[in-house]
Amino acid sequence: MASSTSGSSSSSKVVKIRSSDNENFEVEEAAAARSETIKKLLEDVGDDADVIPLPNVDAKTLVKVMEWCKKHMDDVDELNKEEMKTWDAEFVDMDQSCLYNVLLAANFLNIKELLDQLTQKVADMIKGKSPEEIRATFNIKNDFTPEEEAEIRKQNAWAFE
Amino acid sequence: MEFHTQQIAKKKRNDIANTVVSHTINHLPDDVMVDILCRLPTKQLSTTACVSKTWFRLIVASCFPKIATGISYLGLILRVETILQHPRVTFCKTDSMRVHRFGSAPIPNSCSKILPFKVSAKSLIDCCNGLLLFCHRNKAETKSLYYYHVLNSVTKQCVTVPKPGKTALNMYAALAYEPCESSYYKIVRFQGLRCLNIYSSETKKWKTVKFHLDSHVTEAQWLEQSLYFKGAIYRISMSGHLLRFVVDEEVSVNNQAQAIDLPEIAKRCPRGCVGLNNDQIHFAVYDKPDLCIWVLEHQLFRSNIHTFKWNLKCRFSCTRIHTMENKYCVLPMAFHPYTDSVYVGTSSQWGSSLFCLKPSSEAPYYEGRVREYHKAISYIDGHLNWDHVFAYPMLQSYVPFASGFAMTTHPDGMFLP
Repeated sequence: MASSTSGSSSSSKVVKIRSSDNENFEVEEAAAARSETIKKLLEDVGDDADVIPLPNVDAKTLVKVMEWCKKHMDDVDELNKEEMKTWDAEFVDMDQSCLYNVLLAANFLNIKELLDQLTQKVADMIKGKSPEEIRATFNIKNDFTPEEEAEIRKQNAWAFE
Repeated sequence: MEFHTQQIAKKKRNDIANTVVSHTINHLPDDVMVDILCRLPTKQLSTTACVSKTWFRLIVASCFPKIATGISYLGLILRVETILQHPRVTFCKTDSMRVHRFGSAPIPNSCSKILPFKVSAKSLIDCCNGLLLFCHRNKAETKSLYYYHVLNSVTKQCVTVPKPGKTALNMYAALAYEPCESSYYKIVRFQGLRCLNIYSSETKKWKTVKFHLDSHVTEAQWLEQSLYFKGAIYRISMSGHLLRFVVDEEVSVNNQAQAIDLPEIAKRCPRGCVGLNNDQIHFAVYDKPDLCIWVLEHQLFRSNIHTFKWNLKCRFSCTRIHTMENKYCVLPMAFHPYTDSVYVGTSSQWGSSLFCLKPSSEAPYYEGRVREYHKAISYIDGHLNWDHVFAYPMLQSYVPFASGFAMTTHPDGMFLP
């Protein structure tokens, strides 16, 4: 118990980060360090760090990402695992454009676990859908000529059965 | 006033930011998309390839090779060429421990359902990492053209490829396919002793490359059995060489093919066999009464200068295996692709057997000492001349191969997503 208190007191150090649209945030260092990119930056600049600019992430997305980081700041014990799973499932349940923004941010900030959850979410959205349904869901333009598409379908006829 | 402009500037920035935020799936970087797509079941991945050109490129060039690690070894296909009867194909199902009795050849039977003709031993010409290559002449056609058929028995894909040119004779060809590297395969046809005709499923075209080998190599018989490994096809020449043909790129005439000297012992022995075992090229011969196995060590000096060295892996006396005593013919046939086992065909007055020899764990190998192998099981098949038998390790690839659809829209080629 004592060790966990001392752990949280040392991690209550705050870092400042700035979004692409110039909003500043104060985040606990332990949460921000979930991002390998920020962690690396903090190590490089040391305590002299003023504000860490994140030119690729806008404020709205950054709030989302930091919400996740805060939740995943500490190691989860067995009891909370189920609860965390539900929380994660609710977290990734967002509209598509928001989902890609958070995904791109997680990729840029190099937060492996979050990236893993989000890519799985997108994969689950694709799973079980026909090519037509996929195009409709994700708003993808079919840039094949009818001949080209017919040829690919023929080659993969075994999978369409 | 100044304050006002600042506000506007800030608003403008926000507008820019807002236009940037409405991302779609098309904005995701390729590596993230590949990660997403690789989470789909293999079968759906194949259908998903026709969503768009970008998705096709990602799936075929990156996803398939990435998930192609689950190649499993099924057993040995044995092509038996007899003088009196028609040649036949038998299949020897095996696991790492033992050879089962020859069944009713399930492999050619299942292929017959997919192929547009009845499979005969004559038509099966190669087997490479889960793909089978057949060559067949359609007798109904007046010009009697030969066709190649490439088949994956798991995904049930079958593609027919016409031979190059109109006067194409029936010539030996080999398959070059490594699903972990690329979803595309190549058919490598040996046109005489100076040219290779190479068909690429990526470009859907044949091209001819020239090679040069010394006359004492070209005058000897080349075994109709080949091995594809890291961009090259390997074949044994009875002149005492292992021939190496570069097939993944066109290099100079002198570097396109190379004759690697086989170990000195091999030159006084009957036919040896070459095979892949744990991603290394192995060679075995029977130097009565010993079976000798070498590993090929490959070194690359500068570009295009390859040097090779055979390292003796083991030499053990077959007389130590009592069931292999008194065999008048012992011929190494094939290597197990993953374990240390080696297949050996034997004949004696009581009949022919196929042995699967595996290293004994009690006798660790060190130089100068016999490494003990023990017999797993044998099969009696009357009298068989093992000289007329070719064995192909049969692997199963659960990942489909890609064929056709050459995309011209991507100048960097398919392999640079």
